[in-house]
Amino acid sequence: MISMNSSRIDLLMHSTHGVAPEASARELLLEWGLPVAPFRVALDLQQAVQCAKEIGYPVVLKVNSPVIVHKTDAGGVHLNLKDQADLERAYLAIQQSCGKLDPAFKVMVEKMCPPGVEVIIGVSQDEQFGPVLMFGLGGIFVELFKDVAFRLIPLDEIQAREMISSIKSYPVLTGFRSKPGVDIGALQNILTSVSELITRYPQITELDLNPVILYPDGALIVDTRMVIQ
Amino acid sequence: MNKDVLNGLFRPKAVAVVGASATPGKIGYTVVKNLIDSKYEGNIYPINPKASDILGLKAYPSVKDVPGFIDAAVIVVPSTLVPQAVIECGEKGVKGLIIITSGFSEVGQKDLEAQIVQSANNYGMRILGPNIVGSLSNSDKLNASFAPFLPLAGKASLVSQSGALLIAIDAATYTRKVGFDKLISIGNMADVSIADIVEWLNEDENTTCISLYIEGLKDGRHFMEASRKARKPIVALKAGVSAHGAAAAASHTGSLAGAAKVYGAAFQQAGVLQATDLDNLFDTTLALSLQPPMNGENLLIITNGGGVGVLATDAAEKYGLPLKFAPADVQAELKKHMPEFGSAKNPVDLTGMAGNEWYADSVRFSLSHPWVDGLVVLYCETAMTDPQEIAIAIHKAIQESGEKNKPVAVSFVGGERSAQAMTWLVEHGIPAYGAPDKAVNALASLREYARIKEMAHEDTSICKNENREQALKVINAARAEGRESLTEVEAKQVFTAYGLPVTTTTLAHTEDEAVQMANKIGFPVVMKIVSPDILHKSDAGGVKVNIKDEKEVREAYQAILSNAKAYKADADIHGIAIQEMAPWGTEVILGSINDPTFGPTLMFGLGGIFVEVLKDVTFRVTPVSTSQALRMLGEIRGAPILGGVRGEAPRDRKMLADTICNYSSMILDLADEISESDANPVLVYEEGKGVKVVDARIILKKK
Repeated sequence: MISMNSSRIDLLMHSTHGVAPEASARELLLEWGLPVAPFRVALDLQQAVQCAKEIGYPVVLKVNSPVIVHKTDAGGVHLNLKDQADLERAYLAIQQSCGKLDPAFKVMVEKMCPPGVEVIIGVSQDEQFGPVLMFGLGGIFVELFKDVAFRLIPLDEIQAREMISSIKSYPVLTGFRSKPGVDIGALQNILTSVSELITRYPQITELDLNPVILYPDGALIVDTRMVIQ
Repeated sequence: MNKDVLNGLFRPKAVAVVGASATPGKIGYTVVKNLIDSKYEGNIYPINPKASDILGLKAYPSVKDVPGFIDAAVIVVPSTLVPQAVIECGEKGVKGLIIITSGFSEVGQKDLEAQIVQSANNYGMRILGPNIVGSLSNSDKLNASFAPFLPLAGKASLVSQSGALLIAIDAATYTRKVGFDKLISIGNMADVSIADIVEWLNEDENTTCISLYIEGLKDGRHFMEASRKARKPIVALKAGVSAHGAAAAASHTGSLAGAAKVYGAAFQQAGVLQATDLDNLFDTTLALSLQPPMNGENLLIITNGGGVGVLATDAAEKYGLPLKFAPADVQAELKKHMPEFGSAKNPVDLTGMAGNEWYADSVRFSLSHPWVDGLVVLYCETAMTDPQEIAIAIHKAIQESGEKNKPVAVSFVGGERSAQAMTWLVEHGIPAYGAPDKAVNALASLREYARIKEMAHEDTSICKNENREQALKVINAARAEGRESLTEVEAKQVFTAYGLPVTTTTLAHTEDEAVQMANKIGFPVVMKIVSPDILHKSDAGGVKVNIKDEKEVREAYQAILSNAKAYKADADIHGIAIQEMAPWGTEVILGSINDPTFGPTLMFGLGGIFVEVLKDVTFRVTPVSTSQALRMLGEIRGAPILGGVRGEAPRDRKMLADTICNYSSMILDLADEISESDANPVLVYEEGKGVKVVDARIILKKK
C-alpha cells in the first residue's frame, strides 16, 4: 500500500508530540488509507448536531482534548445516540464532566458502528528489536486469555496471514458452527498497512487500534491511541 | 483382596518355573537363569516333563511332584498348555501365577484368558498377566522375569503395562541413576489389576513411591479408590491421549472429552501426580521416592552462579512455584555467608567464590528457618571447588539441620566430577538433576503432591435431590418409541426430577395451542423445534427468540416448521416448544459423558466461544460435591468472568455449584440410562439470583 497523502501526514507528524489527539491520529490513519470509522470534530453543540446529521444517527459522542487521555473515566464517551435529543443530552453531560478539566474541549462525533468481531491491533517498542506489532481478539480474550500474537515490524502479507491464523481463537474469525466468518483480507490489509506506516514514520512509537471491528465484508477502526516522539 | 495370596505372588518364598528349559535362548531357560543370577534365596523348582536337572537345579515333571511348598509359579509354556498348568498349580496349592506366556486376549483369545482366570480363582490363586515380562524385586533378590537383571536398587516401585518399556526402564535405571525396588509387568491385566497392585504396594515396607506406566485402566473407579487411600505418593504416565477425542460424539461434552481430559481429572481427584513424559516419570519418581512432600509455597534457591539461578527462577514460575524474596531476617543471616557482592534475596547467590563452608552454612540455616518450605541447591562446577566436597557439605548440612519434613533437590551443572557427585547425593537420599529446571520441577511435584492429597480428602458429600421414578418414566417412554435420544422437553423433565432449574417449557402441537401456551407463560417467549431427528436446532433454523406477541407466535410457528422440513424432510416432529425467555446472564455449559473407564464424568465450562473455540473446560469424575464444584469454577481460564468483569456484579457461583452437584447426582443415579448429556446454555445471574438451564440434551445408553 502506498501512502495516500504523505505531505499531510508529515504536517500532522511535525505538529504533534506525545499522545496525539484522537482526531489527529484518526485523520493520519485515514490519510494512510486505513478504514477508520467516519467521524467529525465539532467545537460546540451546534456543530456537533450538524456533524451528526452528515454522518447519520446513531452516533457516538466523545470528548476530544489533549488534556483528557482517559476519556471513559472522565465521563467523556457516550454511545448509541439515536437522535438529536440524545446528542444534546450527551453534549451537556460532557460539558459538565470534562469542561472543568479542559474548558477549551472539543468533541468528536462518530458513526456508531454495528456490532461485529472486535480485535485489537497495537504497536509497541522493544528495547532490542524496535517496533513490534501485536494482534489479538478484543475484550476479555486479550484480558483473560492473553490470546495475542506478536511479530516484528516490518511484516509482509504472508507473515500477516500467518500471524492472524496463529491465535487460538482464530476459528472465531473464520466462523464456527452457524456463525459467519469475517473479512480476513481486510484484517490482513490493516496489519500490513500499519507495518508500512510504522516503517515510514518510526517516530510513531506506540499505536493502539482498539477495537477494530471486523465484518463479513470489511473492517472499521473505532478507537485509536497514538504516541509520536 | 487376599493379602497373603498377593504376598505369595510378589514376595514368594519358593518359586516354580513351569516350562523351564535347559536350552539357552528359550524363555524357560532365561527365567531360571535370572532367578539364580539374582541370588534368589528361596527354592527354585524348574518344571519340565523331560529334563532331570536344569542349570544345576533338580527338575520335576509337574508342580505336583515338587516335595515342598510353592508360593509363585512362573508360567512360560505355550498358551494352549496354560489351562492344564493352572489346574496343576491349583491342586498343588500355589498362591500366585506369573503368566509370561502370550497369545491371549491381546490376539483375540478372550475366552481362553477368561477360562484361566476362572480356573485360578477357583483355587484361590491370583494371576499376574498373562503376556508379561515378569516381576522383579531387589529386596527379595527376585528376578522372576526374562528381563536381564534387577534394576538399580531404590525405594520406588514401578508397574508397567508395556513389557518392552519395562525391560528398557530396567536397563535405564543404571544410566539415569534412578533406583527401584520392584518392577512389575502387568500385561493383559486379566486378573490382578493396577489398582490391586497399588493397594498391595501401599503396604509394602520396601516401597516409598508408586510409579505407573498406564495405557488403559480396566476398572477406573477401583483405581481411584485405591489411589485415594494410598499413603504413598503415586506418579503415573498415561500413554495414548492423542487420538481418542477424534471419535464422533453426539453432544458438545462428548466432543470435548478425550482420554487426556478424563484421565487428567481422575488422577487429580485420586491424588495421583501425572507425569508429562518418560523423562518426567523418572525425575518425579526420584523426588517422590526420596523426599517428603512440600507443605507450603516458599521455595528458596541457593546457587553459586547467576545463570543457573535465573534459569531456576524461570522454572519456578513455569512450574507454579513462583519465587518470593526471603524475609529480612533470613537475608541478614545469609549475608554472613557470602561476599559483599553476593545476593541474599531469592535466589540466594553465594557467587563463584562459594566453597564448602558457605554452602553448608546457608543450607543448614535455610532449612531450619520456618519461612522456608523447600530448598533447591544449585552448583556450577568451578576451577576452585571440588563437586564431591560440595556434595558432602550439602548432605552434612541437611543432616545437621535436623529437618526431615522439608524437601531438598539439587542440581550440579558440570562434567564428569559433577555427575559423580550427583550419583553420590542420590545414593545418600538427595535427588540430584543435571539441569536446574529439573530440580525445581522436582520440588514443584512434591508441592503438587501435598496439594492434591489435601484435595483428594476434601468434603465429598453429594447432593440428594432426586426423583428417579419420574426420570425413568420419561426415559422409558422414549425407549418404548425406539429412540436413543430425548427431546428437549423430555430432557428438561429429567433435569427437573433432579432439582435442576430449567426454563418453563411446554410442547405445542398446533399453532393455536402455541398461542395459548405463550399467553400462559407470558411474553416474550422462545420457540424451538422439538424433533428427535434434529439435534442441532439452531443450525436447522429451528429456534426463534424474543417473540413478543400472538402475531409473532403464529409467524414463528410456521417459519420453524418450514425450516425444519427444509432441513430434514422426513424428520419426526413432536411439535414446537414454547419456552419462557430467560433474561440475559453469563452463559455456561454443563455436560456429561459415560466414560468407558471411569463412568459418569461431568464437564463444566463457559458457553459460546469459550467452549466452542477455546475449549476452556474442566472435568470431574462423579460424584462431585458442592465444594469440589466450586473448585471447578475456579479452574477454567475464564474464571474471572464469573467473578464479574467490566463492572458487572459477581455471578451466583454458589447456586451454580449446587447445580453442578445436582447434575452429578443425576448422571450418577442414571448411569445405566444416560450416555451423554448437555445443559447448554445455563444462564448464571447475579449473586443470589440463581441459574437457569435454557437448553437440555440427553443421549441414552444403547440397550
